[in-house]
Amino acid sequence: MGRSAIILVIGFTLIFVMTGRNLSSLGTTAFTTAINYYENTQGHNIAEAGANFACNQIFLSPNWRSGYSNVSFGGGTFTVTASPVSGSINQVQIVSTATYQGNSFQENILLQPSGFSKFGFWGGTGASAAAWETGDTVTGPMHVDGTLETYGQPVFTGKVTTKNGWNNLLPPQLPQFQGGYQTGVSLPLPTTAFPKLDSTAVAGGYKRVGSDLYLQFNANGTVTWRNTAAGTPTTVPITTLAPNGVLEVDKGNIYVQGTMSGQLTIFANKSSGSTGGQVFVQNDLVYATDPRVNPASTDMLGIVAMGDVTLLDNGASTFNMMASTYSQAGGLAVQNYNSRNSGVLNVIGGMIVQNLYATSNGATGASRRGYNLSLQYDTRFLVSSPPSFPSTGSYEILSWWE
Amino acid sequence: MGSQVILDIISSSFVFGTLLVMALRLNGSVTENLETYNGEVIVQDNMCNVVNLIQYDFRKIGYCLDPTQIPDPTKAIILADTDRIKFYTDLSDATHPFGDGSLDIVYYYLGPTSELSMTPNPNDRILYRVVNNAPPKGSNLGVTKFSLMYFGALNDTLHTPVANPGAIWSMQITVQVQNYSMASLHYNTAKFDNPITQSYWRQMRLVSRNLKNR
Repeated sequence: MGRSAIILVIGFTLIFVMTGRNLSSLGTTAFTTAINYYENTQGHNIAEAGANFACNQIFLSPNWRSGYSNVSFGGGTFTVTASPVSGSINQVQIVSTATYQGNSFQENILLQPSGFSKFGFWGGTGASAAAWETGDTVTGPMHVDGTLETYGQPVFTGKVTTKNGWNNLLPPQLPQFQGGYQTGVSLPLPTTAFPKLDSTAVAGGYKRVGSDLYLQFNANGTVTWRNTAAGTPTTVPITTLAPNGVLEVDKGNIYVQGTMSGQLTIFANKSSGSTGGQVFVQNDLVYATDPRVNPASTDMLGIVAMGDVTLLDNGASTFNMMASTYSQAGGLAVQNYNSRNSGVLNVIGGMIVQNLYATSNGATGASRRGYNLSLQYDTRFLVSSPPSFPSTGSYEILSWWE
Repeated sequence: MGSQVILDIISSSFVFGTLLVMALRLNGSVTENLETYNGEVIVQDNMCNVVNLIQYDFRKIGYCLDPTQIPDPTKAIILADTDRIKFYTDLSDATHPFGDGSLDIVYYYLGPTSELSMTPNPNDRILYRVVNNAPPKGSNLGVTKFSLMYFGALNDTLHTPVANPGAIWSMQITVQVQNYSMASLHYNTAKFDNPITQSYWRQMRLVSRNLKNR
């Protein structure tokens, strides 16, 4: 009887031990799975925190490159480096590496200087006086350095930022902010942009002072220039005339037209005095390769002027201009807008203007004069810009690998 | 053999039988518990694998090592519906851990329940992940729900299928995983018990950094 009892006890004990072991093993496996998921999430979050810290530093101080080393955070550590990308124009690579529970996690962020050409529309205080109404569509990023006035339901497909908020003149109809809306963002045109562009033109571009310049672009990558409208023409490759892509006329005006192949920024400066600083577009100004047809087109034109960029009255009912236009103190003007033939003004690129001018007389039917403005954003300007186009002074994210 | 011996035999047989029944019952119960726990571990593991893969891919919506390949991030999502999404990204591999600089198209969608009609669970479906033009790949991890909601810039819900995927700022992903086999409950069950006892679900909101970076 005693032996049987002992065997019985040992047998049951073995059964319980095996059962307990199996249950414990399953419990441990489940716990390990949960812990692994938690550790991966936490490690990723720490790396992301390091990347956010670095982005914030560069936002506050664009020249920040000191990085972080072994910063304790969230039970782990992160190390961040910020270094220039070789072979690029001022791009910065941020690498944030987190260590958590012996595992390593990494995030890579590529930044580049943000140029004003990235805007489909940038409007200064003067431009903010005009209201965007039902039927208006703005593509690409938009900023108003004042108050955004809306009337009805205009559509903004890109992100809209304003300095002083948004005023809806026709409630309850609301504008469509498809790319988001943010207020409290001050982004004035920089006063340092023109001296910088001037020194670039002097250093390796083209500069003339005190007289006008007439440019006729040719589809083969050359440009025919004259000193007057009927002057002697000289034809040279754009890359010969302005090797670094910046062409400046100071205290004079630039007259331009034609089909452009290549990359150039024409710059009408007015460093002193009261003359010059304007650009006059005589006829269609288009790219040899239309980026709407071929997004791989490398043709890019920047028009930078101290004053207005004016489309001269050529009698045509359709006027095409492909460029990103930057006017420090003026806007995009249509000559004889209330008396010229009615039609459409196609702007493919962007408008960065202090003032917004009327392009038509506003009438309908037979009494209609001037142009309807069709502004189509050139999406290539999201990642690239015409040569030495004015910069906002801050960086923007090109890609974020996590 | 006296009557006392017969009585002893009957008594001992009764005691032994009782012990045997207890042992068998214990064995069955333990086996059932092990099956249940093991099933839960498998489901939990599957859930982690599915969620890790989704998070890895979805965080890279609109990413490309060469940003000029996708200049307009609003075009990163090609198709957005409640149970399917197609987007551009730059997938990594062993030789290109951060992508190769060329765009890939990734397509997630949930197959019909009829594809897995051979499994005891009537609800499980295959979650397909299609890369570029490769044949659809998916394995039965017991996914029973893969639901997507999309939100605009002002956190407003977008109707599906989203007519303008460029308006998407963030999304909510709901994943439910069940055991593809039904538990064979005999011992610890009631009539109202669901034979599919193992089910995990996870809901997350994701904002891809590359969706609205410019």
